[in-house]
Amino acid sequence: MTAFRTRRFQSGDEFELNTLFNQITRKGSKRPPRPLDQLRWLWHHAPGGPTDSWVVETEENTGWRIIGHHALTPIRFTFGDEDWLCGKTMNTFVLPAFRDKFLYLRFEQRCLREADARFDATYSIAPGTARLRTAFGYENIGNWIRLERGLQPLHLICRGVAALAGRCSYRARVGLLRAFAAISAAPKRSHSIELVEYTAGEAASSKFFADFWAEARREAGMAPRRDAADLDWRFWKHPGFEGTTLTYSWPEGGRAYFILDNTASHSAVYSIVDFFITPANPERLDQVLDALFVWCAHRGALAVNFFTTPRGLPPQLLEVFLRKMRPSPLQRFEPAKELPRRFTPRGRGRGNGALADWNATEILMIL
Amino acid sequence: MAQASAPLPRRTSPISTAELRELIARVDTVADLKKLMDTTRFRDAGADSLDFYNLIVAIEEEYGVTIADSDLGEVNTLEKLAKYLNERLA
Repeated sequence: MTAFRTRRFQSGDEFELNTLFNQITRKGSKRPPRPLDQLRWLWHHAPGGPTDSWVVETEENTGWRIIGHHALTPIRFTFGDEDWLCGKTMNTFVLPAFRDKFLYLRFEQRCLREADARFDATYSIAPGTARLRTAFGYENIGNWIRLERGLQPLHLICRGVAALAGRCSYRARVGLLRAFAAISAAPKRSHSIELVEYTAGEAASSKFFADFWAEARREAGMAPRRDAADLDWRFWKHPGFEGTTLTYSWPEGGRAYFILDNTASHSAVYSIVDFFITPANPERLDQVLDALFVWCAHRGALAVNFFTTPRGLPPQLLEVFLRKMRPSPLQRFEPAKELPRRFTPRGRGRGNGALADWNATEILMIL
Repeated sequence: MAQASAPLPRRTSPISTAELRELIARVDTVADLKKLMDTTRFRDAGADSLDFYNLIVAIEEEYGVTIADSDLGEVNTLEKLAKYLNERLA
C-alpha cells in the first residue's frame, strides 16, 4: 500500500514543484526549463489574487515527496459591466509512476469544492483532458485552431530544416532560424496604417491602455480583462515574456492592438498572443492585419501565427482571420487542444443563456 | 482536505464480481467489458481515469463505503475490489 496525503501548497514548495513541472513538460525536449521566478510570478502576482494550489505527496524513506499537483490561477474576466473571476487550471499532473495508484480526479474534485466559493467559472487548456473533466460538469466549448500566415515564400522549408537541426541541438536550431530570418527580412514596405510600437515597459504606462478596457469591455462579451494591470501580469512584466505591443487608433474613433510574442523570435515565427479591436469592424481588422504582416516581415519573421477557438471571436472578425491566415499544417500532428469550461454554483447564479461564447484569445499565453 | 468516512451498512450476502460488473455497465465507460475478467486490471480492459473515478463514485454511493486514496492502487481488478469491499462491510 502506498501512503498519500494531500494538502494546500505552501511557500517552500515552489522549487520542488517547478522541478517536477520541468521534468514532465520538458521530457525529451531541448527547450530550456522554466525558471523558478516564472512560477513565483504566476502564483503570487496575478491581479485577481494568489493562485489556489494543492499538492499530493507520497511517503518515502526520506519523508514526504510531491507526486501530484492541481492549481487554479485567478483570471479576471468582464461581461459588460460585470466583473467575473475565473480559475484557470495550471500545471496539473500526477507523476506517471503513480497514475495507477492515485486517483487524480478525486483529488481535483476536492480542490474544486474548496475553490468554488471564490470563482465564477473554471477552465483548462490542457490538451486531452476535456473528457476526464466532464465528471465535474466541464463542457468543451471548442478546440483551439492555430492559424498561420507565411511571410516569406520558403518559410516552411526554412522551418523544416531548422527543426531537423533542432533534433541534434537546440542552439543549432535557434542559430539557423536567426540566419534564415536575417536573410529573408523583407525590405521596408509602406502601409497606409502605421502601427505604433511599444516595448513592454512603455505599453504599461501608455495613454492607449489607460482607458482602453473601460471602453472596449462594453462590446467584448465574456472576455479576459485587458486593464493595464492584467496585461502587465500576463505579458509585459511576465519574466518569460519578450514581446512587442502594436497599437493603432483611428482618427475618427476606434482602436486596435496586438501583443506579439517575440520570446519565440529565435524561431522566427511570431505569435499574436493577444489582440483586440473596438468596434469589431471587419474592414478595419483587415487593414490592421495587413499592417501587422508588413511590420513582422520587415523584422525578419518567417510567419505569424494566432490561436483562437471557433466561437472565440465575433463571426465577422473570425472570417477575416480565416481569409488572411490558414490553419497551420503542423496542427494535424498535434493533439487536439480543447477549452473545457464549467460554471461554479456562484457563476451559474449570475449567468444566463448569453454566456455560451467566450472571447478568450490570450488566455493561452500563461504557461 | 480530509475525507469524510461514511457509516458502513450491513449486508447479508457478500458482494460478487458479477455484481460489480453490473455496476460498471451502468456507469458511462470506455472500457471493453468483454475483456474485463475478474483478474484483469481495469486499465488493461481500456478503462481510463474517468471510468475508474465513475466506478468509485458509484461504489461509494451504492455501498456507503469510502475508499481511501492509499487503497485505490490495490483495488485495480474486480476480484480485488470485491474482496476489499467485503472486508470493509463484514
